[in-house]
Amino acid sequence: MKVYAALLKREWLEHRGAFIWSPLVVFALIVVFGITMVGGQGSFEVELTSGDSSSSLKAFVDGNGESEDTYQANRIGRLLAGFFLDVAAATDEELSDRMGVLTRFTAAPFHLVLFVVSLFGLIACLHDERKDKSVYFWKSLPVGDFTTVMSKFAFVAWVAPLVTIAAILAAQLFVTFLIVGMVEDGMGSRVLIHSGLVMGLVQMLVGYLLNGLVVLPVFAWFILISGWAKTLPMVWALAIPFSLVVFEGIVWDTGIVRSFIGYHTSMPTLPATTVGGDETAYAIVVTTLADQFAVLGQGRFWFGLLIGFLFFTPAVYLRRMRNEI
Amino acid sequence: MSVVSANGLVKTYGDVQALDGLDLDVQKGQIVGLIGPNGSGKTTALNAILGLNQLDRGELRVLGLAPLAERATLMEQVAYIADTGILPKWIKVSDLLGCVADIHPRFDRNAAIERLQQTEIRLNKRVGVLSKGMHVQLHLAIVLAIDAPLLVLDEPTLGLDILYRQAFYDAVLNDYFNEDRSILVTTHEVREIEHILTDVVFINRGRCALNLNMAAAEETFVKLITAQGTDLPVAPISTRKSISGTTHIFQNVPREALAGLGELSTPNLVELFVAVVEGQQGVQE
Repeated sequence: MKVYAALLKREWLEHRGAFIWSPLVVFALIVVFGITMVGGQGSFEVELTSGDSSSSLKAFVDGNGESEDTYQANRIGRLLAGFFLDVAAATDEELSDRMGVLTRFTAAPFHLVLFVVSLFGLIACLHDERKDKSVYFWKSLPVGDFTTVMSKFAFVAWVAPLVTIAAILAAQLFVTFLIVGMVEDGMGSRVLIHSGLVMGLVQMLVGYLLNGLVVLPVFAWFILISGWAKTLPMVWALAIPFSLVVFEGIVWDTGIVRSFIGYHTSMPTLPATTVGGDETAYAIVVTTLADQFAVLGQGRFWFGLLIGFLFFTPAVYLRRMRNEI
Repeated sequence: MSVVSANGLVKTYGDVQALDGLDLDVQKGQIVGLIGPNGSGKTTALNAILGLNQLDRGELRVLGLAPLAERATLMEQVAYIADTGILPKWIKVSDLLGCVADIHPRFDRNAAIERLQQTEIRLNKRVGVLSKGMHVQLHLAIVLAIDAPLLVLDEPTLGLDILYRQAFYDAVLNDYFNEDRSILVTTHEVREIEHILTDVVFINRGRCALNLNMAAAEETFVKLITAQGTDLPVAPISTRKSISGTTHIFQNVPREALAGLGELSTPNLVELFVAVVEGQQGVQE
């Protein structure tokens, strides 16, 4: 375990820039967006005032008289504006639901950005060390290739998300206090009580713990290509599955690979994934811990683990046999 | 037990025969120079010893271990410096030392820091901003702080100026080497390490061309410079003409048999290497 801890620390030293800066940028954008919203400069052309129950706000939230395109385009604004509709009249359950929607919606861009940054980190992990020849130095230390490869996966799957979770919590606190400041007098404490931030934090921790296993075949694929490709590893990592999707679609008119990739990249254990977007065939509406653990009962989850470990085997072999590019 | 025991090592890359039955034996307390021309198989042999490549055939044990299969265990006892800067450039010096300390059970971080304090390398600097000389100094500081019975050096001073090169070998000899440790070194700068070697292995075309104990070199080889056209009682292994006369290298010929024919001396490693390798190539051609 001491070696694993040391290797995770090593990964942190190498990749901390990307995994710290990317959520900070998202956080900054949310702060700017939130301040803009408070200033009444948002894209939704209604005035958000304390306790507003005006017909114009209700019409906006309901989307009365809007075309489908306009309705979809204003979805984010509607989501936020809907929170302020009759706050005082809302039941505790309604308030919790509204806060749940807002906090999960706040988290969504963080999850997306983390996923993209993770893929870039993984595609570089066995490629860059061969390119700059530092693989010789790392191999001169008493660490096996299996341990090395697993540490690279574990870092991206379970350590790097901790930074994002901290940033999400900060953003959710910001949004919550923004709302507390906007609702009518006396309602702020109700908003805080029903913010669900603590449970949301627990769900994020559980969500990422499980998501590391859901996304394992995708991450393992990127590590494998990182160890195999001599040039343009990202292109290979994307082009091969894309070609397979197109190929099976044309030749057999099936979507097995597409469905596999869709499921394992849909982050079905994270509470935010289905909020504010259309539900897909892969998504589970995640609101409780039980919903999160539901993936363990899915055959496709276990099949993904099997495929992931099938990818890890050649990845470890390539780490052992390949040196500089 | 041999520190390195290699018998009949064979390695092929496509059409290129990198190793063609190489034999090598390194014992405790030896400093062995692996000398050979470019493409002779030196680095392939070192990589095999370090568990970095897979051999096609042959038996290889390093400190009793199979290098490729047991590399992680082996690397607890082997330290290594390569010909090019292999330290990761993105890391700070202090973090690098911390990293090695966390991973390597035989690394003494304080010893490394103490050595670095004698250089211009600062702990808060990134490795990427260090000069090539400093890069080697840093790697040397790390390696010398590892309590490893075998040190492998692959062209470690390539591209360094003469002061760095001299300081490097002084440090290796004075601060690392003792009778319980062994060093296996390759370099093109043969003259620089000649005086520290206990043994030398000439490698040519993937095979061992000569395995020589330096103490026995004086008895085994003799250099004779004669006037041109001098008749020789025995055939030399190499003859070269120069302004001062003709230089002959003899193997296993008593000096008494050559007395009076010219100036006798012991050939240096470069002369010996050229004589042996050219002699073998001449035979093969």
